[in-house]
Amino acid sequence: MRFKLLALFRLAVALVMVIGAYSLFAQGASNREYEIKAGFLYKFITYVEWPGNALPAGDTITLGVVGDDPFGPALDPLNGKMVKGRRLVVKKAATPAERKTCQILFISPSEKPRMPQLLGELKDAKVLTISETEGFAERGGIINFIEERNKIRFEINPEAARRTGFTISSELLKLARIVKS
Amino acid sequence: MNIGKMTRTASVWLISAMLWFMAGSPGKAAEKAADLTGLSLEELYNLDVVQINVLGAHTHPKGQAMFGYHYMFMNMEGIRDGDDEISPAEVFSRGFTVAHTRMQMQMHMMEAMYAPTDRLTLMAMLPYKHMSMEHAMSTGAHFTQHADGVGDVEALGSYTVLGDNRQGGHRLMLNAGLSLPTGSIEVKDHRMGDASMPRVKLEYPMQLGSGTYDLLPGLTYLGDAGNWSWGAQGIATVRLGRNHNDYRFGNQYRVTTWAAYGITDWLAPYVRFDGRYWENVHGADEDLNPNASGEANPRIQAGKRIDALFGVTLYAPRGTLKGARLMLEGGLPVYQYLKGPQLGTDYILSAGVTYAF
Repeated sequence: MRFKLLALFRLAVALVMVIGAYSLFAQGASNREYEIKAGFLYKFITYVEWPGNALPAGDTITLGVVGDDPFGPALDPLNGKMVKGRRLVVKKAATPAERKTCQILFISPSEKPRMPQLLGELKDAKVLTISETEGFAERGGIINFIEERNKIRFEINPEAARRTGFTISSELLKLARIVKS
Repeated sequence: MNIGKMTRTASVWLISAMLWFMAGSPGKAAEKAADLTGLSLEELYNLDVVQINVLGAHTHPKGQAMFGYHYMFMNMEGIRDGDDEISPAEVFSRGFTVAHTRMQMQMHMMEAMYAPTDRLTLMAMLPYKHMSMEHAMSTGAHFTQHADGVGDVEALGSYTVLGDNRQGGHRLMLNAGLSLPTGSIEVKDHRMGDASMPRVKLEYPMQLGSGTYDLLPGLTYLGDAGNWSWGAQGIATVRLGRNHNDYRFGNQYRVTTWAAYGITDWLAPYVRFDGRYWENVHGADEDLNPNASGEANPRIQAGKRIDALFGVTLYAPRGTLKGARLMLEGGLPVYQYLKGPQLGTDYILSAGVTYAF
C-alpha cells in the first residue's frame, strides 16, 4: 500500500510535467509587453501631427524598425492597418536611405552604441523617433518607452518634437513624462 | 526511505526536469500576437505588462508588492506507529503514561512579498499559532493543554534562473531562505490542564518555534500555457546548531506539486500533492520526560506524509478589488508513516486572501 501511494505521488509529478510539455507545444506564450507597445505605436500616429508635407503623397505610412526587432509577432497586427486614412506598412529600416523614407522609426535598444549617430542622421528628418532605451529622449529622441510598476509608460521630449516640426496632442503629453534634451 | 535514497530520487527528478525544460524550450509554437490597437490611449496606459491572473502569484513583476493573510486549521487524530493506527491502550502498554488523542492547530499567517526585479521575489512570513492537545492518561484521566503565540518568522528569496516570468511558460527558480527563532521553545501550560497545578513544559509538537536558525534552500518549477498552470517545489528545512534547550528539531524535506485550470478569469480550481519527510529531534529538552508520552520522546518524532489537497482560487481581474485573490483549500493525507506512537494527521483546511499592487 505504502509503495503504491509513493508510486502514485511520483506519477502525479510526472503527469504534471507531461501536461506541461503537451500544453507548451500546443500553444506558445504571448509577449504582452510588446503587444502593449505595438498598441501605443499605433496610437501615437493618431495623436501626433506630422509637419507640413512630411507625410508622403502616397497612401501609406511607414513604420521602420532599426536594429534587432524586439517585437516578434507583436507588430503583425499593425501591418496593413488603416490610420489617418493611410495604410500602415511595417518594415525593417537598415540603411540611412530606408530610414529617411519612414515616417516613424522604432530604434531598438540593440542600437544603443550608435544611438548618437542615428539621431544625428535623423536630426532634420521628419521622422517620429521612438525607442525603449535609457536616455533616448534626453539625447534628442522624441518618444521613449519606459516601464514603471508593471505598466508601460513613455517619455516625450517636446523640444525634439518641435525642432522637427511635430505637434503632439495635449492628451498624449498629459500621460507622458516630459524630458528635456 | 533513507536520506541517500531520497537524494537519489530527488536528483533523478531534478535531472529529468532540467532535460525536459531544455527539450521543451525550443518547442514554442509560432504564436499570434494580440491586436491592442482598438484600445484607447488610457486603456493601453492601464494594462499590466505581466498579467497576474487567477492561476498563480508565485512571482511578481519588478516593483510589485503583495500582502496576504492565510488561515490554516489542522486536525490530528488517531495514534499511529508506522503505517498502523494503534489505540491508547497500546501506547500505555509500551510504558508511556500519557497518550495524545487529538491535536488541533490553527495558524494565522501574515505574508508580504516584493519583487525588486523581474527575476527576484522576496517574501517574509509571520505565523501566529494556537494549538491544543488532548491527553488520555493510563489512569483514565483526560485533559487538554493549550499553546498560543508567534511562531518562527521566515524570510525567503526566489530567483528565476531559467525562463522568463514576463513570458510565462517554463521557469525554474532557486529559493533560499532563513527561518528565525522568534517562536518560543519554552511553552508551558498547567499540569493536567488544571489551573491550580503548576505550569510544565509542553511536548515538542506543542512548541511554537524551533529555537534554531534554519536554512530553507529549495527549487521551484513553474509552468503555464493557456488556461493551465502547474508547478512543483522542493524545499528543505535545515536546522543549524542546537537551541538553548540543547536540542534541534529534525531537518524536513518537502516536495509539493500542483496543477490548476482557469475556468474563467476569476475562478480556478486546483489539485495539489504535498509530500514531506522529517527527521527525529536531535538532543533532548531535559524538562521533558521521554517516557511520559510519544510526543515528549525525541527519538520517535520522525515521519513522512503525503497529502492530497483540493482548492479553488477566486481572483478579481478588474474593478476596485483588482489584484485581490481568495484561496480555499482542503485536504487529507493519502499516505503517512510515523515513527510513533505519534498523532496522525486527519485533515487540513486553509483559506487565504492576498492583494497585489
